[in-house]
Amino acid sequence: MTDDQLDTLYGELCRSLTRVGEARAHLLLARFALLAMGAIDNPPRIRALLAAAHGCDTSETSDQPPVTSDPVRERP
Amino acid sequence: MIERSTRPFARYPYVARRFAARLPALRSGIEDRRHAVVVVGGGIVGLATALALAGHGVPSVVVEADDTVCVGSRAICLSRRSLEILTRYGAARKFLATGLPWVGGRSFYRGEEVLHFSMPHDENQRLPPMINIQQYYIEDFLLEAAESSGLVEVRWQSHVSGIHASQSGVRLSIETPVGGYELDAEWAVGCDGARSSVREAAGLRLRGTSYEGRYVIVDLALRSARQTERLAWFDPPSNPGSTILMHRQPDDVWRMDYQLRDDENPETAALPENVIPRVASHLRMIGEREDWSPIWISLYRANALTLETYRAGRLLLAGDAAHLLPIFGVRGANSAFEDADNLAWKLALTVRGAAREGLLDSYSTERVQAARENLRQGMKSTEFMSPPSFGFELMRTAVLGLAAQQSFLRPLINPRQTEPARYADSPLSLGDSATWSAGPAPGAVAIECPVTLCDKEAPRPGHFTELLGPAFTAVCFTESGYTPADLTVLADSTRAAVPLRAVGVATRQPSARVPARGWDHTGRLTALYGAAPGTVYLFRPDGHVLARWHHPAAQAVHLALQRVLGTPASARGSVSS
Repeated sequence: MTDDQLDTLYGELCRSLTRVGEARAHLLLARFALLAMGAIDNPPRIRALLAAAHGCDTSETSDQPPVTSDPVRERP
Repeated sequence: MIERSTRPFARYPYVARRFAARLPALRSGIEDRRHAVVVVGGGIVGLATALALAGHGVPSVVVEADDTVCVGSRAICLSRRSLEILTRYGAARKFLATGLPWVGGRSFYRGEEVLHFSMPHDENQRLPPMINIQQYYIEDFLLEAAESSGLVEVRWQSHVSGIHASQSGVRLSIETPVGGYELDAEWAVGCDGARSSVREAAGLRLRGTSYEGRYVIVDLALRSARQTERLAWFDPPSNPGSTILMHRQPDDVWRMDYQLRDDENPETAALPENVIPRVASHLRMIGEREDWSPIWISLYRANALTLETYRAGRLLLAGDAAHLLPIFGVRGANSAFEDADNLAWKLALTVRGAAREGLLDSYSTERVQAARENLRQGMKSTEFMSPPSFGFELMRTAVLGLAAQQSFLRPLINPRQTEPARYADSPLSLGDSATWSAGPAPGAVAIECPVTLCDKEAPRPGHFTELLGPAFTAVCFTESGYTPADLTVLADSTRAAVPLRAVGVATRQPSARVPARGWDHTGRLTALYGAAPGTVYLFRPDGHVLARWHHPAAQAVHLALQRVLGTPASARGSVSS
């Protein structure tokens, strides 16, 4: 994926979220996450991505420590 | 300007010259001579157009409502491309001596650095990718260069109150404090900004998007050892929830702009008592300890608008009169220089009767295409800097939170700075008829590279773009540096009507007797252009590639020029080989 392609897809996602509205945006993102899991089709990779996603902005969302996992030890 | 308040305001360290209004010689209220070109508006694009026309030997009169150059918080970044254009018209020296060069910048999210970017720059370049320089200097230096050409007359305090265009020319009604008059010209170029009266007279309307987000723009006087780079802070501890940009300008002037929240009243937020604490808080956060003063406070709202055509008969539009681009990515003033450069040579050939009027339609086609690309990039920058809706806001928070660890996301934060236009679909360009391993395709600008210049007595180090003047230039790669004889004959035969120069670039060290203009002493130029002995690149007077060939006959070059000129209205312009 080129920078320009990423840029374009990013804009499309932003506009999709705005279109469905704030109340339904989290459902759209959840559905996108499930579809992305299916497309990635690699459990250790998916678990690592989930950990990376959880690792940011935890100050706002949770008092719990971020979920950690060691993808190297995972077996599909 | 906003009223002074809790902290005393400073002045810009610049004294503007003031100019009186003058009336030309009149006959029954009408100027007694008809002008080839009148430029309406003496800002950056107007002065650049007049300077470029002068570079092509065409006199013009510039009509400006104000009595001086623009003083205030306006454009501050000039790109390498703009500097190249200024260099071609012999006007870059003062810009380079005064401006502050820079190559990149850094962005922070809360306290953390999430992006460190560089603009394209390497050891082949003669010019920096960008300089910071205040608009009053830009206009002042343009004015000085235009005046010294002897071909530009600027009429100050002259307000255009009426525009009447016909098929053969334009009549302007002009009001000044010392009286009014009418002026006739063959062509009028509207460089009169966002509220252009020429655009209105042409019956054209800007279309596109206006963004809601408001920015406060503050110029301030501050002594700081901080280097020149683009600095951006998203949600900084100094101003939670805001986005702040900072740029150093010459003479210890700094530009700071920050976004207002949706629930803030812009007029109130721009009052000094509300601006000063925010600026002070940010300067404290980044460790600036010196005393500082505000100079100028203004409000900004991003627009992304263009006309669909920049020509309506004898009226032409350029700069903000033709398109309004968001500030993010610094495309406003820089696209104005490209407009002026593109228009001037075409207008010069048309005025001289060497080309058909239709050549001016290619100005519109090419620059509208460039504006659309500028809008596309500028809108993406704006949507990131100033999220226009909930979706953009949410995703930006996600990107900023991940970018420190996830490098693939960082390009989304990059400000997407202006790049030279590529006239990929230009009606003038000759498509490549052969395959090329490298080099600028038709429509693209020259690639810079060091060469040895042999044009004067002693060979000296220089750069490729110095071989390109404000003329058509056929750059011929040869072993010896001899220009092919048939191309020399063609160039000589066109000289009266169409400036064509044949320039030999030697791939081996030329002997002292050979009239080579350049020597590719490193071999890099030949490689960068995918060239071999026999290769010819034909450049337009604005430095864009018109066509390129591996082994052309002079006839091919002749035909490429004819395609540009059309069948000229006047026999003076005919090109024969």
